[in-house]
Amino acid sequence: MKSNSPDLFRTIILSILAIGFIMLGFSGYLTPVIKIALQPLVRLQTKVSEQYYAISNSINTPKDINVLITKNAELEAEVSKLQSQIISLQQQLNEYQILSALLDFARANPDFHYSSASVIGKDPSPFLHYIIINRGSDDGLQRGMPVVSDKGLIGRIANVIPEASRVLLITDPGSKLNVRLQPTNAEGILIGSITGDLLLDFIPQDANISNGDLVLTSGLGGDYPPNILIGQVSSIRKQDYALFQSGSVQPTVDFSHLEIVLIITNFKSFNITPLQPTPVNP
Amino acid sequence: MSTIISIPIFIGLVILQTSIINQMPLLQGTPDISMLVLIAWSLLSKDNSAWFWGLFSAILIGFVSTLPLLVYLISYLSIVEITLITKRQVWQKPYFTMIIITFVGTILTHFLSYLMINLTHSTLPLMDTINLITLPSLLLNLLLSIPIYALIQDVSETIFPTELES
Repeated sequence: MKSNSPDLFRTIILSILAIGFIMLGFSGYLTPVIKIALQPLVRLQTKVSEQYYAISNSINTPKDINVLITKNAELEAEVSKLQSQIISLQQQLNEYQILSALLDFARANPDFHYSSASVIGKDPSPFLHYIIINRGSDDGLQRGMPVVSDKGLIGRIANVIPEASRVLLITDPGSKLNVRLQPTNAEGILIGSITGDLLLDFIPQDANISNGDLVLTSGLGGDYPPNILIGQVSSIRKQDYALFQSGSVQPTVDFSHLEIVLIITNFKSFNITPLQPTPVNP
Repeated sequence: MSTIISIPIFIGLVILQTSIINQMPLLQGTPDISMLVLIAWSLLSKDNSAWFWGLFSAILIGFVSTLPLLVYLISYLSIVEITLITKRQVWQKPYFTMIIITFVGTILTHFLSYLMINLTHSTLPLMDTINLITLPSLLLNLLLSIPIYALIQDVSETIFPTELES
């Protein structure tokens, strides 16, 4: 019994000390002491942790690079796919805008029946102004049918094969067509040239023509229907001693960027050569 | 092999010429890549296939073009003949020969085209034709002649592999 009392006393003292330290700890009086005591431990912990992460990274990083490379390739493929989709959509939008303009033109000129075609090439010879379209006799196209765009006259079909046609542009040096000027109603002939410029000739001297006058097809000659817009007069040359006035025309159609065209399918050009007078030998 | 390969080559060239190259003229002139390939092949071929290449390209372009087939037949076959003759004379300077034949071939093709258009189609003003079509086309043909020669040289080496010295 006697031997137990010092142990009990020690326990009580230790408990009081422990409670006291706890109380001091909670009240914050021991913080500097704890800090001093923990600092070396934290440093040691940091060192060990750093070494662990260094070793861990050296083992795991190659795997991560491979994953990243794969992911990067997937993303690049996705980006290029989206870019090609954007280009495709832009093309569709462009095509839609052209078709919409062509539709407006067709609605504004309801007398004609139209067939649309894409321009797929130009004549290989730089001397000639012809385009090749992707519609031919299989689609009901025939030689001589007029070809227009939403802006105005382009030309007429010169040759047809089952799948494609060749169109003679009005800018070709061999193209000549009868035109009428608005508002004067004066008539003349529009001639193409190797530069692609449109030249106006055989306008009567008494016609009062000015820059900006509209140039339309007259329908004479039977190659084109009347009243299709071609362009505007950009210059006039009138000389007192000449029989006719001449000039140049700014076309409304941009012949360097033809993509989709309309063919007027219910117009039949007719050959007036037999009606032209021939010299009679005495 | 050397004759058969000309078929896809010229079909591709004509598509390229009509759909892309002719859309990018210099003034009104455009390069004639079929003619350049024909000249390069005539210089590099080691058999008589150049005649077939000339005939096939002339027929193909004559079919696509509004110009009469005769223009291309005469000009392309003449170019093959001139090239083969020149190759025998100046065989050590292929690049020089390529440039000379390109010059002669362009002038010949344009002269025949001009003549035929004036006879059958419409009257072209001579000076405008030279200034706006022939000179720019000549420049483009000369610029493209060397790269096309190098390209056809690779094709030629595939068809006619050089024997290695032991």
